[in-house]
Amino acid sequence: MATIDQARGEIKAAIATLRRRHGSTADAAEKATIADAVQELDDQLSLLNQAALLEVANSVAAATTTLEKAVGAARLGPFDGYLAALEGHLTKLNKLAGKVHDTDSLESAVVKPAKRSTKSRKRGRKKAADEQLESLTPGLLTSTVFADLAAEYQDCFDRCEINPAFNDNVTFYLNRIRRGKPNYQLVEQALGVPWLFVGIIHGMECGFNFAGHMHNGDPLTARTVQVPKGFPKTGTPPFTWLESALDALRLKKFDQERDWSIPHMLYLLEGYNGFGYRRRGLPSPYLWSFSNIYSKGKFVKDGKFDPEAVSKQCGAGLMLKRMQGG
Amino acid sequence: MSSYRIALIVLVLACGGCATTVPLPQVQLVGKAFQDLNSASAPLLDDLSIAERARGIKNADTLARLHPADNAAQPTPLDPCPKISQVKAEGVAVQNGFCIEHSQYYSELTDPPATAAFRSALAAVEGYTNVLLILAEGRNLEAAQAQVQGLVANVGSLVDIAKPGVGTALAGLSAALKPVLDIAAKSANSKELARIVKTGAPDAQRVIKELRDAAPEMFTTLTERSLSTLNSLKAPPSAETAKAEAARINAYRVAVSNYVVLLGQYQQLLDQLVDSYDSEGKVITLNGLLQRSTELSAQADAWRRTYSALRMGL
Repeated sequence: MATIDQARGEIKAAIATLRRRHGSTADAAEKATIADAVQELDDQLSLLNQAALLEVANSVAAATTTLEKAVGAARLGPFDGYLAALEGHLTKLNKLAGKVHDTDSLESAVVKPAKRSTKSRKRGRKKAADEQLESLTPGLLTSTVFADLAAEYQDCFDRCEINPAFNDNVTFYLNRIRRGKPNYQLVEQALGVPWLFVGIIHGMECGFNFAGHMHNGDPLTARTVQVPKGFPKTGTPPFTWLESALDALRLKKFDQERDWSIPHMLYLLEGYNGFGYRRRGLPSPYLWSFSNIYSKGKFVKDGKFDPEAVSKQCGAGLMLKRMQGG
Repeated sequence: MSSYRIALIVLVLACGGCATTVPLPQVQLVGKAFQDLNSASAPLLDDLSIAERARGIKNADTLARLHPADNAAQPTPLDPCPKISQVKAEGVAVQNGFCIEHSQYYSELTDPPATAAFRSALAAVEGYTNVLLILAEGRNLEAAQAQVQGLVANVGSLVDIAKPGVGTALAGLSAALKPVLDIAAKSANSKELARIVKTGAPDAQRVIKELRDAAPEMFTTLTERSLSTLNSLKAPPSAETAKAEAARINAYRVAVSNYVVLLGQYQQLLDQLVDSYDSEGKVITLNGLLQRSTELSAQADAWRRTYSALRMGL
């Protein structure tokens, strides 16, 4: 700035000198030349003025950026300190209540595969999925191959009726799905997974809790700490619910699915919880709880099956049917 | 005097000499000072925008005229497009290229760069002042309370569906939490206000100082065309024109001076707010603040009158 100021000072002084000469000379040619020179100097002065204004504007802009950061860091939500802790307690209560299943959630029904040789293990997951389960009791098909089960899924879906005793409870689930629809639609746009399928998984696995990871309900403020641990692998906490949901569904490879027919959705949902019920010829409560298809029997903790235990969680298949107007 | 101003003065007088946990009257005075500054600055910046744009366009032509036709020069910050020169034909001259850096002067979609920076600076000061007001007046508490209460209500209804009867036990949770939240939220606001005053005020003061320091260049820009007219020997102004241009320059001198004074007044009110936190345990009087506020309003009114005269060419 000092250089610009010095230059402007000299130009102004030169203009003043030329103006004095212009006033004193009688030579018309000299007067015209001086007038041109003054004009040229005036143009140069204008260029320097422009540079000087931009320089002070840059200083103003730098100070502005600092102030904007200070304003941006202002905490207008009074949830710092113990208020944040209080909010955390309420969120956890919400999560517990929303899940309904602090004690009611369905344990995994994944069947532990029989020991196989190293060679057969290398055949991969697809081969394992094709295995027939050893049937313990007669009833539903024990296959885990979709082609074998498609007709059965459709039949169950068609026959499925709500148990009137659970009308209120089912309505609660459906309302939660409808309320979350805008978020689920964002997932559909990103992955192509139908929003209703996303909503049902969200309800079954996280109790519709938008403050938790879709993987397992852990808080979004950090990566997951329970199984599956350490997700999302990329990005920086805190995560948005959408980021977490996309990661969880990609982890399950749902983004690679193309068949979103009713039977295939039911197949994917049952597989999400596990095919353990088929081994017993039973309809999975994960799909059919609160409906006429299912009455009792569920896996409790540590993989044990209790034939008298009754699921208190609404089945995914029933939700799917009711949301489709059935 | 507006009813708002009367109410404010009554409020200040009612609290005169008293110390407050949340210095609401002081913050409101700072807010009012900004309103005066901002409303008075807007027309000056409008004029600056016009003057800066006209000069930018004129200088782009000057640079093109001065550029040699051999395209040998290298770009510099002051001359970003040295390869653009002038084509002359039949007494008409036109630039023979497009300079992206100059588009901020030719475009009428936004302010030219310096004016934009000054407006952004005032917007940042406004943002800061608004944060102070929101915290002091507790305007953020209602939404925050609603958020927590909604969460509580949600818990009750959900639990009731899952475990009939349990939700009833939680029904009182919302009512029980409300006073706790009220006190805690106000306390949190008070602490945040103190923090944002102490940590943010130096940044706001720096912006104000930079704006004050920029005032001479604003004045130069606003008056450059008039001075050029007065200096011209190729087309000397008539006596009437010279008189009008001189009056215009003097009017801008008053207008920019008022702008500087208003910036200073805002800064002083902010200083006093900071002092009120630094003088913890002492009695804070608002009489000084009130006097400042009244002066500020008078200055703003004077500027509006000056500016009105300037616009009318008086």
